[in-house]
Amino acid sequence: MASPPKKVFAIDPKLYQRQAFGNDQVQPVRQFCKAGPSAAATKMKPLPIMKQDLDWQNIPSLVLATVAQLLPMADRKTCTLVCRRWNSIVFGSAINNMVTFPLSKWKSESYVPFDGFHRMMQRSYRKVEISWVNYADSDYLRTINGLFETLPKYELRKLTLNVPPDETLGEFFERHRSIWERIQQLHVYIGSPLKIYPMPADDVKLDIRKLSINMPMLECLEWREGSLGNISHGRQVFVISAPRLEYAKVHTFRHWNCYSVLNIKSCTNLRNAFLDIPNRIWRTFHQCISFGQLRTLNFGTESREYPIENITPVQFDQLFATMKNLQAVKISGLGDSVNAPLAAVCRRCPLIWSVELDRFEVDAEAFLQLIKLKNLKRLFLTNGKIINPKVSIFCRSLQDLWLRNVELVGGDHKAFPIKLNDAMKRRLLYTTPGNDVVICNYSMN
Amino acid sequence: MPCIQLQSSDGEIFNVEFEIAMCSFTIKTMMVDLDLEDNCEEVVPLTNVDSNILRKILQWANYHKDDPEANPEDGKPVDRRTDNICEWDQEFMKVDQQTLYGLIKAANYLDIRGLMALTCKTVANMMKGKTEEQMRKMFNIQNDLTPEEEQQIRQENEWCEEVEIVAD
Repeated sequence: MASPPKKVFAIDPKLYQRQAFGNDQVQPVRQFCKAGPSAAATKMKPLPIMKQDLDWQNIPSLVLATVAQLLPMADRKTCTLVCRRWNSIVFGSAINNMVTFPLSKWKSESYVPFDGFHRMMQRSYRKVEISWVNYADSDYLRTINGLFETLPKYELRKLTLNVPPDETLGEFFERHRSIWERIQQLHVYIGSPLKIYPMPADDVKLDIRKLSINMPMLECLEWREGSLGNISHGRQVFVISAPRLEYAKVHTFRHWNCYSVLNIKSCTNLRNAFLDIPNRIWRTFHQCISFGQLRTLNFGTESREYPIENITPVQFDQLFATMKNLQAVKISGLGDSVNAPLAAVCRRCPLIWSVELDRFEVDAEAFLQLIKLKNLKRLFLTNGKIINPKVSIFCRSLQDLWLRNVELVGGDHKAFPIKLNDAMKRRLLYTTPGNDVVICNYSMN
Repeated sequence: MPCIQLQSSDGEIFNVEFEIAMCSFTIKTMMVDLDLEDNCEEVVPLTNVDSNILRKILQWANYHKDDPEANPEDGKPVDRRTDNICEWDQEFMKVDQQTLYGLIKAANYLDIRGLMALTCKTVANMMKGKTEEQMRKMFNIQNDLTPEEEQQIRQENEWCEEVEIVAD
C-alpha cells in the first residue's frame, strides 16, 4: 500500500491533485490509436467490473476532499470517523501536525478559543500558522501574545506569522524568547502587497530599536515585507543569530522604505539563499552573512525591475570572492546592472554549473565570459537583451556550448542574426513564448 | 462540425463533437500536447471509462456545452452550497450507486470540472445528516479504526467545533 496521504487541517483539493491523478495516468495515445475502425465495428463484451472499482473506500482523495469541503462541520467530523483513509483525507491528525489560525475571524480577544488552542498544544502540534487578514485591527499582537503565554510547554517547531506592520512586533519577538530558542522553520510576512498603509501622524516619534534574537535551532527562514505605499511606523533592526541556518529567503515588495531591517548573523552553514532586497539592505547583508558554504544563490527582485546602485564592481567582486562553493546562481530583475555581479560570478566562483538570468540587459563581453565558464551545464535566459555582440564570435561561442552539451533555454531563434541549421536550433535554443531574449545592435564583423 | 472518436474501456467507439469532448481537460490537454487538433481520425482510448458511463457523460456534456467555463484559478471562494443543482441535473443524477461512483471516477479522470462539482454535491447531499455507521453502510466501507484511534479522532474533532462556531 502506498504511504498514507499527507494529513493537513485545512482541506485544499489542490494538495491531493497529484496523488489523485497518480493512479489513473493518461496512457500515451499513440500506442493505442491503431485499433482503428475495425475494432470498433465488433462490439466487445463489457469487461467484468472489478469489485474494488466499486469500493467507495478507494474513492479518489481529491474527490473526497472536494466533497468534504461542501459539508457542514458536523458531517465533516462524522466523515473522519468512517475509516482511516477518510480520516486522513478529511481531517488532519497527529502525523503531520499543522494548524492554521484564521485569527482575523475572531472578533476580539475574548473570542479566542484559548482552551482549544491549549488542548491542541498538549497534543504537541509542531506547526502553527497565524495569519492576520483584518489589518485594521490593532490588537492582533495582544491576541497572539495571549495565545503564546497560555502555552508554557511549547513544542512549536515551525511558525508562520502573517502580520501587519506594527511597532510592537519587536516587543513581541523579545517577549517570546523561549519560542525562538526551539524554532526550526520561521516564516514572517510583514504587511500585505495589496494593502496601502496610512502614514503615521507627524507627531509620532519614530525610534529605532535594535533587537538581538538567538535562534540556535533555526534551519529555514523566510522574511518578507513591504507593501504599496510607504511604511514608516517605526523602525526595528532585527539581528538574528542562526548558526544552523541552511535556507534563507529574504524579500521585499517594491519599496525601499521598509519597516524593519533584518540582519542574519553567524550563519556559517547557509546553503541556499534567496535575497530579494534593495540596495542598502543588500549591503548590510553581505557584511554579516558568511557565504562560504553557499551552494545556490538567487538574488534580485521578483516584483519589478530596479537597478542596483551604489554597489561598485569591486564590492561585488569582494562579495562573490567569499562564495567559493557557489554552484548555481539566478539573477533576476536587475536590468543593465546585471553586468557587474555577473562578471564577479564568472571570475570568483569556479564551481558554477547553472546560471539563470531574468529581466536582464547584458553586454556581449560579460555574456561571452559567462559562456566560457568551464563547468557550465545549464544556462537559462528569459526576458532579456544581449547588447552589442559580434556575430562571428557570438556564433562560435554558441557552437562551443553545443559541443559541450550545455542545456540552453531561452530566447526566440528568429531574433537571432545568424542562420543556424535546424539541428542546432533544436539543440541550442528552446523557445519560451513571451520571454524573448533579444540581440541588440549586433555587428557582423 | 469536426468530430473526435472516443473509445470506452469495453471497446465501443463514440463519435463526439469536438466542442463537447473539450469539456474534459484531460482530453483537451492530450489533444494539444499530441498536436491532434487538426487530425481527428485517430481514436482516443479511455481505458478507465466504460460505455455506459461514457454515454451518460456525453449526455451531460451535450446539455451543458454552452455553460460558461469555470476557471478554478480566479480565486473565487469555493461554492459551498449544495442545494443549487438545476432540475435537469437533479434528474440526471437519479442513478444507482454504481453509476454514480463510475461518474465520479470518470469525472475525476477526465477532469470535467462541472460534472465533478455536480457529483460531489450529490454525494455531499447523500452524506449530510448521516451517522458514521450509516455512511459506512451506504458506501460499503469497512471500519478499520481501533477504539483508541476513534477516541483520539473524537478528541481532535472537539476543538474544531469551537473554531467553526467562532468563525461564523
